[in-house]
Amino acid sequence: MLTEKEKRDLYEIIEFTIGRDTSIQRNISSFNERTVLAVEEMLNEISRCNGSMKELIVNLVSGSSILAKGWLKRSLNEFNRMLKYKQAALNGYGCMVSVKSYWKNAIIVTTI
Amino acid sequence: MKKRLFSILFPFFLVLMLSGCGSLGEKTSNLQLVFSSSYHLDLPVSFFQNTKIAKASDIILKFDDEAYVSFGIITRDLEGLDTSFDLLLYPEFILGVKAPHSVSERSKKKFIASYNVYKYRLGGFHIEKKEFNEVYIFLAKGDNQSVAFVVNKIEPSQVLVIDFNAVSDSRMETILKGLRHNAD
Repeated sequence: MLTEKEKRDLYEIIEFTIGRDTSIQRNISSFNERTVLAVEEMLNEISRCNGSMKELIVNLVSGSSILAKGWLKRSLNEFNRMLKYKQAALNGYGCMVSVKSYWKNAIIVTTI
Repeated sequence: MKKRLFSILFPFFLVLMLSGCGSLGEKTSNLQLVFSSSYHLDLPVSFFQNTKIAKASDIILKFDDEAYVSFGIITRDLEGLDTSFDLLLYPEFILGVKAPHSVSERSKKKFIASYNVYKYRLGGFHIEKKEFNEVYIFLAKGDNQSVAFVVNKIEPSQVLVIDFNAVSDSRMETILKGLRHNAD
C-alpha cells in the first residue's frame, strides 16, 4: 500500500520521464506496489535510451552499477527530487515513441 | 462469483461495434475494436470472454490469466520522421533487420537505441514475417513478451504496434488473423 505522498512522487517520476499522460493521471489513486515495480523496470530500460538517465540512477545507488530490485520504492522521494533538479539535463526520452507507449500501458495495467 | 463477460473501462473512448457474420447459414456475433481510421480488430465475441478492455495511452485487452495485449498507432509525424519516409522500413529499422538509413541522425540514434531496448526487453527474440488481410506483420517473438508491427502493404500511412505480454501463441495468432485494414 502506498501513501498519498508516494503515489504523487511516483506520478511525478512518470511525468518527468515519459511525459504527461491523462490516462495515467486518472489512475493515480490506484497506484500500488506493482506500479512501483513497473516504473522501476521502465527506468532501468530508459537508461538504455538515455545515457543521462543511466547516470542519474547509478548516482542514486551510491555509485553502484548493480541495481537491486526494489531500489525505487526505497528512494521514491529522493529520486523524484533528483529528477526535478536534473530534468533539463535529461534531454528527452531517446527512443522511438513505440518503445515509450509500452510503458504507459504497462503502468495502467497494474491499476486494473 | 462468475466474472462479468466484459468489464469495459472508459467506454467513451472506445468504438465498439457488434456485427453479425453469416457463414453457411450460421450467425456468429463479432466485436470490432477500432484503433484508427486504418486498422481494426474483428473477432468473435467469445474471444473476449472474461476480458477487460481498457483505454490507456493505447487500447489494452487484459485477459483473465493476467496476460495482456496493447494496440497503438504510430505515424511519421508522431515519430518525427520525414513525410517521405517509407513506413514499411519502420519495423525493419526498429528490430535491427536493416541498419537505419534515409533518416536524420537523431532518428537514426533513436532507432538504434530502440533496437537495443527490444533486445533487452524481449530477450533472445526471433522475427516472423506474416501476411494476413492485406497487411504485413513483423512479429518479434521473445520468451514472455513479443511485439508486432503491422503495416498496410499498399499505402502505409500508419503502423499498428501490438505489444504482447505473457500472451499464449494461439491467442497471439488469433489476434493477428483478426486484424483488418479499413480499406478492405
